[in-house]
Amino acid sequence: MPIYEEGYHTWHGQLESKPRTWWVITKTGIKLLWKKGMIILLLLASIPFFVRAVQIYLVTRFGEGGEIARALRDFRINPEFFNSFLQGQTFFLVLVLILSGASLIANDRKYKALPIYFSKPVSFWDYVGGKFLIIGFYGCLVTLVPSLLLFLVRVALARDATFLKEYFWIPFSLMGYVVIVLIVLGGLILCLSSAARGTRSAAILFFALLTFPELFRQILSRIPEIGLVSMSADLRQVGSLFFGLDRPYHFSVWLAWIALVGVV
Amino acid sequence: MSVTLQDFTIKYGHLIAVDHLTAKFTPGSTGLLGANGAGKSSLIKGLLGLVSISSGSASILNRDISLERKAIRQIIGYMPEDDCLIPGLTGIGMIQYAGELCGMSREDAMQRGHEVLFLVGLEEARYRKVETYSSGMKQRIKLAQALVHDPQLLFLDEPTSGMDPRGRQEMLDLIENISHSGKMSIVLASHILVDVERTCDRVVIIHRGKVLEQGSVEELRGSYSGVFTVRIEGDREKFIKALEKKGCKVAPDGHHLMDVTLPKGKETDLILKVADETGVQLRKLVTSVQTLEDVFVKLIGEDHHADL
Repeated sequence: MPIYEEGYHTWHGQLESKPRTWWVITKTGIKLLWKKGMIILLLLASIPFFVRAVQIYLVTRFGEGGEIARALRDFRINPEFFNSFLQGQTFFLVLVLILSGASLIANDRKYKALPIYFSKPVSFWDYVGGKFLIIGFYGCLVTLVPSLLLFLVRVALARDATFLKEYFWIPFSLMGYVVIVLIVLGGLILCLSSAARGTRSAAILFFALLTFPELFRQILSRIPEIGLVSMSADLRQVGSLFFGLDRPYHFSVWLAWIALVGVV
Repeated sequence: MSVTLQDFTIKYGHLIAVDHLTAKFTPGSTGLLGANGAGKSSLIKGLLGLVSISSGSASILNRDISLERKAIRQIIGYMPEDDCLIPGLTGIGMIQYAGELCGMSREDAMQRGHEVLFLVGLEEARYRKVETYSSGMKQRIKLAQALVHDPQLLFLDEPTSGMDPRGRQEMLDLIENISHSGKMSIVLASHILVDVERTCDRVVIIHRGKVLEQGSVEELRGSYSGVFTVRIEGDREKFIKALEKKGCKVAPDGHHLMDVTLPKGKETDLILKVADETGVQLRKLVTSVQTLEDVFVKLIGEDHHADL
């Protein structure tokens, strides 16, 4: 065993010339949140997936026109199915964002950790990008991953390639729509996390910004354009475009786009 | 040069924190000495890009701070003044994280993390969450995260703040050890004169964002060494006026003693001559021992020293 003299020792290793600091921030953040019990939320969020997977199994096993399918109220596996699944998962996404995203920058501010990051070779975009990817990772785990798995389940259980030929574009729509939702909601929670006084304030503000405009829209439903103030309605409207569905609201989908870009 | 500053200015709105500062910090250990609010921390933050520079330029280890910020941050270490922690991580986790952010591999960062935690005396607490650390331990972990990647230049901002006497001694021993190892240059910002005097070879005295004096500790002491403590019997007022007429600075203590600062190039003969001319009896004439504190007080005045 070597005997070291006391005192400072030089390190003889080699530093990476261009360290991927955003990745270091992301992986550490993912691990930290995992240790904080994110698994419980992920398990809860997986329940709808299993329910839908069983539905797919029943429908493909017994046929879409069969008795069981009729019992499931003419249950069909089509773009509407994936869209409605994603809309349902948005609830879990909001929970993920509140439980994970709200603290990401707020805690660094609370514990004055920013000088530690920015005295290292970390740029503003490395930091924000790294933090965003943490919520992107968990966000995808509750939205994109189960949606794609459901698609795969449907394809795997299909007797022929008709479904795949007809709806091959659905995975791309799923990815595109989830990216839009994550950019809008993830960007918003990070912004609030950096601006609010603490984690709790950021979470409350985020919840309020999602809930109150939606309530406002429902109260004033006679005026369709009011729906634009609700981020949830804007996202649903844009979602219908991705899945080629009828618009759920009577305002322009392009105005919804503009509203979302405005939020970003 | 480890740091070169040219007309370096930092403003917070109308407040000028660093005022057209020009200085050069040579390799080795340099103390940034100044009262609270003198601009020491702002200067360091400006150099690291943590606050915006209003005008001027600077280079660290011969790299321009505005052009090579990332490269500079990779070869320097910074121990901030405030309690800075990465919440949720253990001591070793935080140091490993800091190392990886600097570009170390995961394994290297882990191994080196253990080494520096031993060095700063946190080996027993390395698996504890950093939020549970005491003030002294937080100071130590801040030093460890600054050292993990073996920087060429280390910025220490008030490293002993909030530490108990024993912890403070250990921290100073550690800084002295690093400084005297000759492997890395140190810039230590502090308002505690003893800390700077003990750990630094050179001192830059800052007041209201400007450099008042810079040089080695010995030089600074030397430049103010022509100070003598004098006691006389006789007409005190006449003696003081005569000394001042000859260019001396006299600081009477209100009793019998006075500190007489001779003009440059003059010897004690001048005091003897003035005593003879004014007819006073010289009862005591001894060299006043100069410490950095004396130099500092002389430069910024007693009123500001009260802040320290």
